[in-house]
Amino acid sequence: MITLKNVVKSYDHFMALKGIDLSIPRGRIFGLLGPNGAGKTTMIRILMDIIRPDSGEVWILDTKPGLGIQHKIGYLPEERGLYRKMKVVDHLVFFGELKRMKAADARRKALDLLERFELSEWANKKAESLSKGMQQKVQFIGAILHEPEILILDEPFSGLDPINQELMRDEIIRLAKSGKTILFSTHVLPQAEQFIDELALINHGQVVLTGGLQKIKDDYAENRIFLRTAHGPERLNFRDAAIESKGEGYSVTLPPDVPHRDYLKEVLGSGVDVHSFRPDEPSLEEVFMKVVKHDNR
Amino acid sequence: MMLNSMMVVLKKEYLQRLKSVAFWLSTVLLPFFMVAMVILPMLLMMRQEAKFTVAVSDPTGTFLPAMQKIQADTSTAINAVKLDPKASAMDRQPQMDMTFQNATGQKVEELRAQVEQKKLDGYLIIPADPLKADAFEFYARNLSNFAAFSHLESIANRALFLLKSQSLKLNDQDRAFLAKRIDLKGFRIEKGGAKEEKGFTAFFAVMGIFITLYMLILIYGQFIMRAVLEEKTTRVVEILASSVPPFQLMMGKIIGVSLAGLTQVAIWGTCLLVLSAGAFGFIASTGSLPSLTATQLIFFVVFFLLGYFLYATLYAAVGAMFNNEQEAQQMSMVVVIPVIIPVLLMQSIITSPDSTMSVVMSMIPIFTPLLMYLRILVETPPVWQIALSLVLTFITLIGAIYVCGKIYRIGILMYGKRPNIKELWRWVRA
Repeated sequence: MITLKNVVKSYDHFMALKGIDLSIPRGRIFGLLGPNGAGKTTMIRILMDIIRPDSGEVWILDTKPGLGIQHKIGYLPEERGLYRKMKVVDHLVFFGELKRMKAADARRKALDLLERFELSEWANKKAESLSKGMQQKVQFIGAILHEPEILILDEPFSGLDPINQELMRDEIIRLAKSGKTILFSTHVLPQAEQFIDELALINHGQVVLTGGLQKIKDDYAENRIFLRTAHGPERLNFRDAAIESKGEGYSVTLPPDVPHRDYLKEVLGSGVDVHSFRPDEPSLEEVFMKVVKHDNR
Repeated sequence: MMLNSMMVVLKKEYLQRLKSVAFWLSTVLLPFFMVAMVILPMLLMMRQEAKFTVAVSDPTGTFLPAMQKIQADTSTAINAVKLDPKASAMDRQPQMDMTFQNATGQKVEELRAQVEQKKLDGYLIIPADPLKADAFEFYARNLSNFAAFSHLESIANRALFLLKSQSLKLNDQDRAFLAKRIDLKGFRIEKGGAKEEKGFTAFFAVMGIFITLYMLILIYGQFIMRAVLEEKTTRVVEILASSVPPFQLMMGKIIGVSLAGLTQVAIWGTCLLVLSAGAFGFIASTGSLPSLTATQLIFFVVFFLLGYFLYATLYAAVGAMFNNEQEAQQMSMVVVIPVIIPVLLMQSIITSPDSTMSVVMSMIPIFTPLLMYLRILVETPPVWQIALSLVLTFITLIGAIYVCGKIYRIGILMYGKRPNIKELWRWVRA
């Protein structure tokens, strides 16, 4: 669906992208992760044909980026805004027409989506009267109005309160289930790992990690369990385990050759009352920190 | 109906202008403003009625009575015209209520003191032999009151004529025969004939149309700059740049706004036609409405479009270069200067439309839209000059669109420090 081959882009003497190779399959929710300045927005702008790469190939829907397929892509840029004095519904009709919708169809669809996002009463208000969160929802609506095959969202959750983040997440999942391909970049990793299928981690203009979410978590999993007990950590000191307080329980890291059940046998055998336990997968944030730290060395 | 992306932008810009209160306010108010700027000061000055007290030192004893008689006759005549329903507005003169006091025998110092104390507006010294004098001396606090000065001079000359004719023992009939003046009627030569036009109103008509063209180019050009800046500062440009090629985005805006300008011109033109048909007696009777020939009207549209596109393109580039209006205003002054220069040259060109300076300046593309059109209004230049100026301006416009289009394409997505000349050159070559 989306392919980048050895894409290079520099600004003056700064190399923003140093040969990106990436493939994003159809119908997946793909997370583009990376620290500030990694090159995510540059890559997205190249996909949107806002800027051109210095070298390399980019393919979207078997075509090069450009006017020919813009109407099949919905885009929510990182830097976003609305015309202050323009009404909300007029904005959406304008954005829809830019994506080859007829004005009447765009208006009808816009009103439906405004209702779904609880913005109906703001349809005829000027954009300047909306809060920042509401404006972002309007812009999101503008990105999905024309029912694109591909949705590219650059930091879609930034500036949103938790309720609206959840609303946006639910909408993204719904769109993915309907067959859309979704590519988004974000720093809100806990939110992202709840629903992305695959990801790419970009650092210093290069892809340092890519693959399915679960596979990556498995690859970076340590021999670790999480357990909850009323006892203190000194009661859990078996088999050279490293114990760390975590939330309402403890994260116990075991040596690689120690199975979980052997350790638990010893803990329970010592009389410790264990309320619950489970394998402790690394969070996406932990993987992110580990990979970026390693890459920066 | 689906529109291509440039047409979508064009439609949005056009409708946005038409839906704005500012558009309709300026459509209604700008013509009044033009009248106020151009005609009102003159009309106000002409219509000013004032009381004026002049002390006259008349050693002859005959000049002052003659002046008082002339003044009384003049007032009677003015009042008669005022009461005449058939008299036109231009015929109705303001009443200059000038009173002459006999100051014969009073010392000059006394008269001066009374003027300083505002008991008098001025005093006139009649020489011992007024029939042979070249000049009379008039002393006043305010000599800038042109109307009063002119009125006094007229009264004095008419009194002089009366006394001279009496000294030659002319009767009233002979006196009237000698005093009769002619009116100079002006006819403007056009293709196929000549049309009567009052010189006074022709001048103001030319000025009015020229100033309208100048203001339209300036105002609508600046609209483009503000529109580009708004899209940059609100970051809407990110969405636009992903859907519309930058060049189409720029041209869609420029054409859309130009259509709004043409709509405004069309509204004014229609109103002008209605007024010319005699809807408003005062204006129609003054003959002060600008009457454009079809050729002049076509050229108005052509030069407005050329001028507007040229400056709008420059303004689009200025808007794209900067991050906010304060920064952009400094650079926009550079763009405004070539628009102001024609205004400074206006008088010279009206006076000598065929002079070397007029011809050369009207051929320079950045001045052509205003100066060549001004020459067409005053006295149609040779066809080859008009054609050459149009070609040169068109070529310049294409070049400006190319260069400014490049600056716009890169500038709209750049934020941070202002670009220097070297950077701008790099943008153009990119």
